[in-house]
Amino acid sequence: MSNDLDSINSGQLLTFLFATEVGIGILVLPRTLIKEVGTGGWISIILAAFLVGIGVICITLLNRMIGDSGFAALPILLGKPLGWVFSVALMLYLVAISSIVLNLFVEVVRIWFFPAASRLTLMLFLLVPSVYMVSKGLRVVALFDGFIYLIMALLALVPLHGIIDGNILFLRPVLQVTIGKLTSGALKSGVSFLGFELLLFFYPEVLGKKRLFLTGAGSIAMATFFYVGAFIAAIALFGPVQPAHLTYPLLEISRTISLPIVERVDLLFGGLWVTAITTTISGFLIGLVKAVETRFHVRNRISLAVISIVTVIASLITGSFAEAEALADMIGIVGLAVGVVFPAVLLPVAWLRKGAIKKWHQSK
Amino acid sequence: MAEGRESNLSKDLRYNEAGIDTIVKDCPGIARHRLRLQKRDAVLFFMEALVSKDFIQRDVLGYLLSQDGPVLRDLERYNNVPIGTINKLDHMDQVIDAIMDGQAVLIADGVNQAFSFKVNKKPQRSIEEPATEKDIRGPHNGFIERLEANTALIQSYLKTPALKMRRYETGLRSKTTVGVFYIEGLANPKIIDEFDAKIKAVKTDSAFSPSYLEELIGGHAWTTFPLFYSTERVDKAVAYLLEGRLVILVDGFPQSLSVPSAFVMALQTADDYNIRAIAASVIRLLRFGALFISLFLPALYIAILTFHYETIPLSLLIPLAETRSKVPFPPVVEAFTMELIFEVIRESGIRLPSPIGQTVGVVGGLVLGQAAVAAGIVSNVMIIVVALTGMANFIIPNFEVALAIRLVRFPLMILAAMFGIVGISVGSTILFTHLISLKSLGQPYMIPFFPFNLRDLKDAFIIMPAAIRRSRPTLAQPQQYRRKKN
Repeated sequence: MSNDLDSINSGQLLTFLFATEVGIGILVLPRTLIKEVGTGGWISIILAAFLVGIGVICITLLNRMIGDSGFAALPILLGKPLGWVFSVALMLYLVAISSIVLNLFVEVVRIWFFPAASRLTLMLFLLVPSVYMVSKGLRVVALFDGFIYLIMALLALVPLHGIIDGNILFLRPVLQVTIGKLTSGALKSGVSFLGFELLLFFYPEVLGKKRLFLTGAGSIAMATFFYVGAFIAAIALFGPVQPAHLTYPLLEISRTISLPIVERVDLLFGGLWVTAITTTISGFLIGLVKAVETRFHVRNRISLAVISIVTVIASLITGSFAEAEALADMIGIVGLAVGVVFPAVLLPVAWLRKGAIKKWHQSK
Repeated sequence: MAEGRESNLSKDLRYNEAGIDTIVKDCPGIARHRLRLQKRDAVLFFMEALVSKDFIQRDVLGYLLSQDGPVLRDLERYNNVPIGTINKLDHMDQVIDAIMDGQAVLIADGVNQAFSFKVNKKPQRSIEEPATEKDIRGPHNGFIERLEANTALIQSYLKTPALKMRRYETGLRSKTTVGVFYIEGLANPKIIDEFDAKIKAVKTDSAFSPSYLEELIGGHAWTTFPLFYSTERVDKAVAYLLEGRLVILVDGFPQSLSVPSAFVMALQTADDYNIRAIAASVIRLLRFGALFISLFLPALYIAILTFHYETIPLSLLIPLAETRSKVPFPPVVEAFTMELIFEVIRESGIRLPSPIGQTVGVVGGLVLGQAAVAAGIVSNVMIIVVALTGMANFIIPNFEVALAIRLVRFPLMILAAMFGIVGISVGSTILFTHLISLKSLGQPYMIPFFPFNLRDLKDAFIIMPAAIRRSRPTLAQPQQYRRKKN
């Protein structure tokens, strides 16, 4: 049930989704796509956006049909045993994605700022603001996520610098990429859009439910804009080959920027980016808290503490940075399945189980 | 007077007098005047220090003793009695409350009621501009400690019957009178009712100061940021009323509280609306810059010198390195040392009498700062950072918010020392999350930023001209958003 701590309007939902989606992708995506697809990677990003858009349509229709969040109605749609199995699977998915994002976050911070710092120390430290934010409720998380516009506006100066200083003709030849590569690139881009599937968990909390699709689509559109910009900037400044060998092309672009009074602008951008990633982690964490609350009817500081500890432990299990990146690719596919395939499968089930859904609402 | 309640006062004067004596025994300043009215004995009780002797002699006693007719019956029926406010009292606790409040109370033999006469003349100072809220072009008056005088000050600005006041008595022992002002038709009834419920729920034996009241009613016990903003300026309080807010005045204190309040109000002064919008906007932006400097400059200094010195241009890095090379302590120790010295000087300047306090501030700052640099404890740059931070903090108009910023600075400095710019980001995230989660009487504290409100931004970072500022801020959810004629 929604309460004042958790009620958000459609504008705040848009901000929340966008802040959750954008984060790691803006750093990692250019290298991944250039390796996989080459200069046509920007097309893969747009393809991925369309794919994710289908997922948003399915989730919106599903929530509307059920009159509640898709996650809440799983036992009704699939039966109690299967509903619980999928509920736990979704919760594990959220744990996995939170821990992978945290892991990648820590690795980027180590590369960018503190090469000698302990992973565990950084993990615990960097998780604190997300946990604190989540403890205040969805509304505070969504309101804080408003910072993402300012952060992204400032971070956008980096790819803009790359595009202005670079040579956009490096993007040629355009459209000389096979469909297979574009598709696999789109699937790899999927991890950068993860966050949209949180629509499966939040429905009663949203005021202005009629604009749910526009909200989800808007967040994807904004994320696509930034990712395409980051990709084009990387190619424009470094050419069509070199970005594949750079860990974080956007980071390298920011290192080329200097101002009259500040030599290393990338460090200041790093500070901003840390806040952006915090919003991503807090988005997934609050989704997990919501899932636990829905299924187990538990919402207190203890459950949040347990969730946080489980996330840290899961992050430590993933081991090295290379392992985390490999897992990120896998979780991207799982995320697309959760956000696109799963709701699409549930739609006809919901239509068939209309009566059971009605009875469920009456019994609430 | 409570109607419909049975009186517990006796018709026996001696019984009533003994009852009063028992309660006010050893109370300072209680006087009594015995008289004979309509062939009955009567006693007039009052507190010497709190009543006007002229009123007592001339108006009360003069009237009572000059009447040949049934004066007690006239009092009972309010029959052409030429004395100010008269109340009939049925119970001993009402009699005691009236005496302690500075009213004169008459009890007579054969009558099981008492009569109170409002003849208060509590000591009060003259009306002058508050020392901590000086403005250049605005009026130079401020609230004083008396609620009646403050009420008159507000009424002199708002000559409308829509100005309402609700009186409350808080504190079981202190019996502090609290006046809550609002403009009917503007103030949101839900907010009034919510405040009404909260103040009635205050159950303590003394709630005699505005800040104490704020803590009891405002909630959010563990925040350093004030949720109800105080002002001693009458023009500011009136402006708050005209925005649909409630203004609370506590008898005995010149500070008024405005409810609900938002963080952005801490950077607004009355002078902003007394000068041209462009000039006021520049000054407002200066204040926001000062807020940023006051909060982040020491932490940035620590972060850059500890972890990110490559951010500094080479031409500045070399002299900085030369200065720092003479200091044996790391930047965080240097920063904490100087910040604490500055805080000590600031606090000692407040406690000392004005002439000495100013001297201590100047001498302490100059001597200590120079000596610290000469001794190699801190660098020159640190002195500049601390001085700039201190001056920036003084620019923040609201004292409580400035104090909160001073406190929050120190954890940011620690985080900067531990994790550099990442630590500052983490600390800022926690700070802003905290601010966003705060509510002032149910209204978001960080409006118009979070939640974002475009209309209210015209009086946030900048001030639009008066012709454009035609709507009221949404924070108080006024019943009428547009500033219309009627």
